[in-house]
Amino acid sequence: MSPTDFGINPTANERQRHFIFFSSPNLVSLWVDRIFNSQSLAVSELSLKGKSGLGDKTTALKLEIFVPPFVIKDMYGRKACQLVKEFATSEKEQLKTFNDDLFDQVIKECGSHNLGFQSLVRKMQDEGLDTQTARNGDFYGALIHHLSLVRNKRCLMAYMYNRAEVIRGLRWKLGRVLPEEIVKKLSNSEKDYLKGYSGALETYMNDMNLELTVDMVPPKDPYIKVRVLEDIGEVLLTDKSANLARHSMHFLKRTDAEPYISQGLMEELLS
Amino acid sequence: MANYYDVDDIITEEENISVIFQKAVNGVGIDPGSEKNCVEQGSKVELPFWLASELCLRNTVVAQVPACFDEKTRLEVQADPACVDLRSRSPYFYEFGCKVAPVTGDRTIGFLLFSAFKSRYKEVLTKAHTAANVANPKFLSRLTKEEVHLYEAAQSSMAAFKKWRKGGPRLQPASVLRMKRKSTN
Repeated sequence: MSPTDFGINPTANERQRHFIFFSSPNLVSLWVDRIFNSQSLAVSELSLKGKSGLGDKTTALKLEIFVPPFVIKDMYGRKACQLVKEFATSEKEQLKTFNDDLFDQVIKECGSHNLGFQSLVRKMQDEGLDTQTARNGDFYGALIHHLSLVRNKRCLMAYMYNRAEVIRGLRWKLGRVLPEEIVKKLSNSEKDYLKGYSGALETYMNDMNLELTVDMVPPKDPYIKVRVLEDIGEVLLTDKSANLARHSMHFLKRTDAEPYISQGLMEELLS
Repeated sequence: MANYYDVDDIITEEENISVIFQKAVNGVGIDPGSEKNCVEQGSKVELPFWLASELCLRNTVVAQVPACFDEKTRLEVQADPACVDLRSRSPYFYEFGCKVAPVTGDRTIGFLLFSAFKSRYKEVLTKAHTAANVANPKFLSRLTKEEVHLYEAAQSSMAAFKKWRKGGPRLQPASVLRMKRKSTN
């Protein structure tokens, strides 16, 4: 007997509900054990409803089972690719929150691949085969585990690497302090990375005595007219101090204004 | 080989391809049709490309031409390449095709890709230049990733040209912030 004999579709993706009638209670547990556990189908809810009246002495039990969406064995490397896809679907130069959960799941999958690989290699050694030259089922199994590990590694590395690239870009565009809502999306190690990168860049700029992050667009004029969009307050600029109140207009040194413009606090006015 | 960290390359290699196992394999759960953790010789399994290609190199499996390069697609591409919905077949139609061709040994795929790209390329550029800034969703939804990049590149170069002619503000807030403001308003 298998679940399909009872109209249960083991590959269906939705919740299924079935009623099955039994003549005696101890048959039920036996049946559930044998059919479902062997097929590794999880039965989430079982409700037994006694129903009498089929005969004088026998009691029929109605077994109501819900089969949850059948979980197909995850194809190797699927989760890792999901992680990469998640990065790919985010807007250019935008970050999504670091997906700790999925990341850990992939690492776990790597662990199980490692176990599978080791046990197959051990089995071959126990059989006295040379793991370098033997080409049997165990060898190919180990090979598949190995390939999956390499693949998962590539996906994880790509996820980290591409995020790090975005973070470096943000440092150049937004300056040393990132807005809160972006920092929230970084993982702890990414925050450390940003701090380290920022520090290295600053040390270099101090040593060279050169501000590298300004003048990303070649300037035409050292001074520009700007309008302040959000209250900044009294600030000390390189040549004067100015009260940058909201909606006020100023004639500022380009290098002073540029960080404010890139942070969205000012806009350039064109004459 | 493409860049190790290339996101698009990684996703391309995730496309499924069906293979027939030439050897029995133990200890892996990749065959959904089998109850035990093994694959029998001769069974047909859908594998992601990254796995299938490596196994193919070692003569463990024989790969079959995936459905997105089947006869129907070929006929449609021959009839009117610009109107074929290539994205629904595979968002990385061209890249995937280039990878599949050597693995399956199908020499006709190259020609199919070439002729499809050649005529669609023209169409994409014309549309990008004439459709002004109004996105044409119906048209865009047929394009593969590569073609969308082309379309966007053509549009942005057109926009940059216009901006250069007219002049305008050259310093702008970082694009990350602009997106945020749009979404909150």
